[in-house]
Amino acid sequence: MTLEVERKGDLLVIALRGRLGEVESQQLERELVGLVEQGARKMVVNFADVPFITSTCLGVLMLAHKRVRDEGGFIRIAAAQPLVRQILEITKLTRLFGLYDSVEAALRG
Amino acid sequence: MSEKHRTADRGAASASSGASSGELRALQVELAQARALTAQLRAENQELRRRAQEADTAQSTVAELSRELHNRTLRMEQQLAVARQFQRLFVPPALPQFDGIRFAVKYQASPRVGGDLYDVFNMGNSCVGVLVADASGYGLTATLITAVAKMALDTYRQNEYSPRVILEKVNEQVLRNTLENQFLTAFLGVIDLETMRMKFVNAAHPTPIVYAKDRFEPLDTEGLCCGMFEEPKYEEREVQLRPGDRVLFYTRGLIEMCNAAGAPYDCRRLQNLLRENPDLEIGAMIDRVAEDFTAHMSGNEPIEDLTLVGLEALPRESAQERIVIPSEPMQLSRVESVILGRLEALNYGERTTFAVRLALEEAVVNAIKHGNRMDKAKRVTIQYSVDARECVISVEDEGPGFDPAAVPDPTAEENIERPSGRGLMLIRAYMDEVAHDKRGRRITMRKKAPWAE
Repeated sequence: MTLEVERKGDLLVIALRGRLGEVESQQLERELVGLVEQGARKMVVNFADVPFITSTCLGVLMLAHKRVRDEGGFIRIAAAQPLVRQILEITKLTRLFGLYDSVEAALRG
Repeated sequence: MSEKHRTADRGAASASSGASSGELRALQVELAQARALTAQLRAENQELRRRAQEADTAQSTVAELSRELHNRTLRMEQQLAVARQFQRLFVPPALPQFDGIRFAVKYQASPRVGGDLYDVFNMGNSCVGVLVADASGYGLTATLITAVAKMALDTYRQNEYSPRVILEKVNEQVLRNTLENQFLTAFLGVIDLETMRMKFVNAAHPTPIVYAKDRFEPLDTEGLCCGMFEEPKYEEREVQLRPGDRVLFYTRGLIEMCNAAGAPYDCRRLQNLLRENPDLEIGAMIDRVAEDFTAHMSGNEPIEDLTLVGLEALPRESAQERIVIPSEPMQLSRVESVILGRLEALNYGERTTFAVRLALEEAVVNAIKHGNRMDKAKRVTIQYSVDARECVISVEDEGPGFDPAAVPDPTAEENIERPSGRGLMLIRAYMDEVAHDKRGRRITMRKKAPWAE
C-alpha cells in the first residue's frame, strides 16, 4: 500500500493505492494517526486505486474518523470502485463517512 | 466407597492389559458358574435315573421329578429367548450410510446371548458416531448391562461430540445402575465427515484396526472398562482417515473363543488376513473374517456373540485439501494465492473471486485474532475444495471457541462505531452458506460457482 497526501485549502486529499487488508492495516493506522497528530482534521480519502478492503482497515478509518469528528473534522471516501463500494454499503459505513463519486464531489461536500 | 470399588483390582487388571485379562477372569468365573450349573443338572439327571432304576415301582415319583427337570430347562430357555429378543432391539436393523464413508456389519448372536452392542449414528454437524461394546456375563445379565449402556449412549450423544465425555457419562450410568462386577468394554469413535478425522476412546475393548496397503494401526487409548470406577481415566485420541483406509471393529467373541484343539482365533491370524487383503471392499472383508473364524472353530459352537463392524473411507468427488499456518497475518498471502489460484483456474470470475478473497481473509483473521488470540504457537487449519460447482472453505482455530449468535449486529445504529463483528457480517453477506461447528472453533463457508444455480 502507498499513500500520497495533497493539501487543498483546509482539506487533505489522501490517495491510497493497493489492497487494504490485514497486513496493510498497521501501516494505514500509523500514517493516518501521524496526519491527525500533525493537525489534519478534514480528510478526503481517494479510493480510486483500492481494489480490496477488509474489516480491519475499515476499523482503522472509523477510529481516525472518531478522533477528528469531535473537533469538527471528518473523513470522506471518494471514488470507490464498485466492489469496494459494495462493502461500504453492506456494512452501512456510508452513514459514517459519506460516499462520494469523485474527489471533487467530496471536496465540495 | 461403593461396593463396586472393592473389586478395583480385577478391573484395573482388565484395563491395563488392554486385551482385558480381568474380563477374561470375569468370564472364567461366569463359565465356572455355568459349568457348575450344568454339573448340577447332570447330577440331578443321574439321580433321577438312579432312582428310576432303583424304584421301578415308584413310577409316579420319577414322572414328577423328570417333569420338574423339564420345566426348569424350559424356564432357562425362556429367559434366554427374552434376552435374545431384547438384544436384537438394541442393535440397529440396518446401518445408516453417509457421503464419503461406507459401513458394513456382521452380527452373530450366540445361543447364550453374549451382550454385544454396536451402533452407527448420525450426530448432526457432519459427525457420525460408531460404537462397539461388549457386556460382561451372559443371558439376561448381559442384556441388562447392555440396556443401561444403550440408554445412556442414546441420551448423551444428543448434545455432545466428544467420545470421552459421552463414555464418561455411560460409565457413570453403568456404574450406578448395575451390580458389582457388571461392566462393559467399549470403543466409541466420532468421525467428522468434513475432515475425515475420527476422535476415539477405547475403554478396555479389543483394539479396532485401521488398515490400508501402506497402513496398519491399532486404535487404543488409556481408559478403564465402563461401569467399574468413578474415574475411568478415558483418554481421547484422534486419527486421520484417508480415502481408501478401512477400519475393522470387533468384539472379544472373535479373538477369545477356542476351537476343539483349545486354540483361540488369535490377533495375528486376523492381522495377516487384513494385511493380505487391503483392497477388499469392507463388506466382503467382514464376510471373509467371519468365514475364516468359522473355519478355525471347526464346528465348536462359540459361546460369545460375534460382532464385526467395518468402515471404508471413500475417495471424495472433489478432494479436500488443507493448509495449516501459524497464527501470523503474514501467512495470509500464501493461503490466498493457493485457494484463489484454484478459483481463477476454473474461471470463477472477478465478483466471486473477490467475495471468496474477502470471506477467506476475514475468517483467517478472526481465527488468528479472536480464536487463537495471536498466540503463534496455535495454528489455523484451512481446508478447501474447489470444483466446477462450488468452493467450500473451512477455517478452524485452536482457541476456546465462541458463540456466533452472541456477536452484535455491527450495522445496528448503536454498534455502527464499534470495531467488532464486521468481519463475520461480511462473510455472511458474501458467501452463499455459512455454518459454525458446535464449539465455535470452525467456520465453514460455501460459495457457488457463478454459473451454478
